[in-house]
Amino acid sequence: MRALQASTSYSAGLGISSVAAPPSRPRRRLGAVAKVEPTEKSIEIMRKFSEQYARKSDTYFCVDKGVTSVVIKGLAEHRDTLGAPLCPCRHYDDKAAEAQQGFWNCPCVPMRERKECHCMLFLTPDNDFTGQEQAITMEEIRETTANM
Amino acid sequence: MQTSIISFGAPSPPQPPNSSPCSLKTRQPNTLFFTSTSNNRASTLSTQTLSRKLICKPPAGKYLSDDYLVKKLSAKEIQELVKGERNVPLIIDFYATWCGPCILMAQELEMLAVEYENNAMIVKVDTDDEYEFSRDMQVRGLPTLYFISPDPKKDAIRTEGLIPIQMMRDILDNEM
Repeated sequence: MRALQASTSYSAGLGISSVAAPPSRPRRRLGAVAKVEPTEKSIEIMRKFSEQYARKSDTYFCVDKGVTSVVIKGLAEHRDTLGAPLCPCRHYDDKAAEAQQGFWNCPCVPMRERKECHCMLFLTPDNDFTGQEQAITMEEIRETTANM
Repeated sequence: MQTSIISFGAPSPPQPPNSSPCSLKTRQPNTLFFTSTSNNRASTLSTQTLSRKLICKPPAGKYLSDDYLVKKLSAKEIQELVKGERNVPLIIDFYATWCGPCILMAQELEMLAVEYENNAMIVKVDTDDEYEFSRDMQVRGLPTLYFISPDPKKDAIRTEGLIPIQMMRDILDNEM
């Protein structure tokens, strides 16, 4: 295997808590898949959390608010289904176990320790994709995810 | 932004048969349902109820392109693609519905698909739908891309995270 390491990866520090069979997914998918939308309440909670944490960590939202909106919705969806805002930009062997373990619950450990958010939700000022804002409205979230 | 590139050996695959469905549409005024206003365009789409001989074949619409060039495939379809024969590189994009960088990656891949046309095959897999397949492919961070060469002797390359389109071009041009 030829490895070209562009930068540090999380896998070295990540302790995968379980290699058990994947959990039974909470929703059945039949034929044409209807996307599961998070509740308004969870979206609002994660929106407020994102604004607050961006201010606290001196990070900014992406210049493309669509990215921010999608991630906030992903966090809200995991909050609804798992009880914790598990990072939506990862694939897990066992989501429930990971949510309980906490490493990837937003704000995840890499974010808390090194301000590394691979979801592009919280971006440091030196990032190419960083915008100027630390706020996002529900209206913006609705508009930018309307056609998804 | 974290990105890692890993390559490993993998078997090589085929090109799916091209099939472009031709849809026949017949337009005729349907006075039963439409009043005549300047804005109304009367149209019916079904030829099923008509039993008349067509003098000439209606336009097939085969010059209309699909909305998206990068198609979502199932695990089974991907496996058949990888196992079969191919003469172009294959890019597999593992994504999730609510992953923000995956949206940006999808846009880049659409542009790449336009640039490379038939010189590369680009497909995507929803990791929430294909849970077991994603687990078997050891997908962790999203988006994850697999670049699989048509040459079975060459290692496959895997990248994690959003990567610039130029990096994808370099991999396709130099590593495949």
